[in-house]
Amino acid sequence: MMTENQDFLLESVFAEARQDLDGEVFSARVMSRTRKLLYQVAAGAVAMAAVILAGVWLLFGLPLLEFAVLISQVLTMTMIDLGEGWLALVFMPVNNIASLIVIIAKTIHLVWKRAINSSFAS
Amino acid sequence: MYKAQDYYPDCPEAFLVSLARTGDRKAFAELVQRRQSPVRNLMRRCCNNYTLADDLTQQVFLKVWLNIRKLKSASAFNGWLKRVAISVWLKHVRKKDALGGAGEITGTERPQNDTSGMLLDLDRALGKLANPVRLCVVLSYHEGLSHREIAELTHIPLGTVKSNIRNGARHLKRLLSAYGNPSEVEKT
Repeated sequence: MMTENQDFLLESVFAEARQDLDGEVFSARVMSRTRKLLYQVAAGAVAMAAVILAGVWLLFGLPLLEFAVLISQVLTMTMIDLGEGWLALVFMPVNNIASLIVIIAKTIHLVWKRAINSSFAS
Repeated sequence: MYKAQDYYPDCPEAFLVSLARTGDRKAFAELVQRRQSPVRNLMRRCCNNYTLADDLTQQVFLKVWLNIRKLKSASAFNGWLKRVAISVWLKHVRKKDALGGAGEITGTERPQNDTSGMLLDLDRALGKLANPVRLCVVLSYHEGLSHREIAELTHIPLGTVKSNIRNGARHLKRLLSAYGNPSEVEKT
């Protein structure tokens, strides 16, 4: 070992002090602590995720819920007033904005497919 | 049937480091087994308290396990381990706010089978040095580091490192002078 020290007495004393220590028990202890550390990190991550979720819910949960309720109310609004009779019950599945959106989307899809097929055919 | 882990004791260290970086606990256990003795010896010279030294060494290996993925080159493991060990020791010393004062010798639990008087004398003599002086002397004489390397590792100015080693060595030599004189050793 190259050193800048010139004191051979101290060098020899330090060299003799280097012991070959048995590592079986020590290594087992270190590995058990790494395992504990893994569990601690996992528990910390779960706790952190729970805190973040709770925080997000507190901040955005209620506005999101209100928005969802509003959307569902808008989508289920009847388009033509058919009163309270049997006719209203029969047409209820299609007499609302949600059904109109589905029908429009399906129609666009069909027209698009037809247009694509005709362009390929020609 | 043999498992891959059965061959770990014969594997080169760089290979084990690479495996440990992927999260292989068995490879890391083998690394700990191989490297615990030098780190514990270093900590024992620094602490003069074997229980504390072993506890700090465990902290070193835990820190290594947590950060081994950040190690860029597997061949740099030994030097990095030494740096981690020194940083753990410095953190411990700073926590005790003892960098400026002389080292305390507390709770010096010794192994029952330790019969080396020279080792006890060395640790006792090192315990009488102030922490920064002791660290510089140990890194220089025990680890064989150059003054520049010690300055870089400990963030102590180079001039201070040199004077710490000079003064520490003089002090230690005075305390351990019996080992330089065989007739005095026989008397003790």
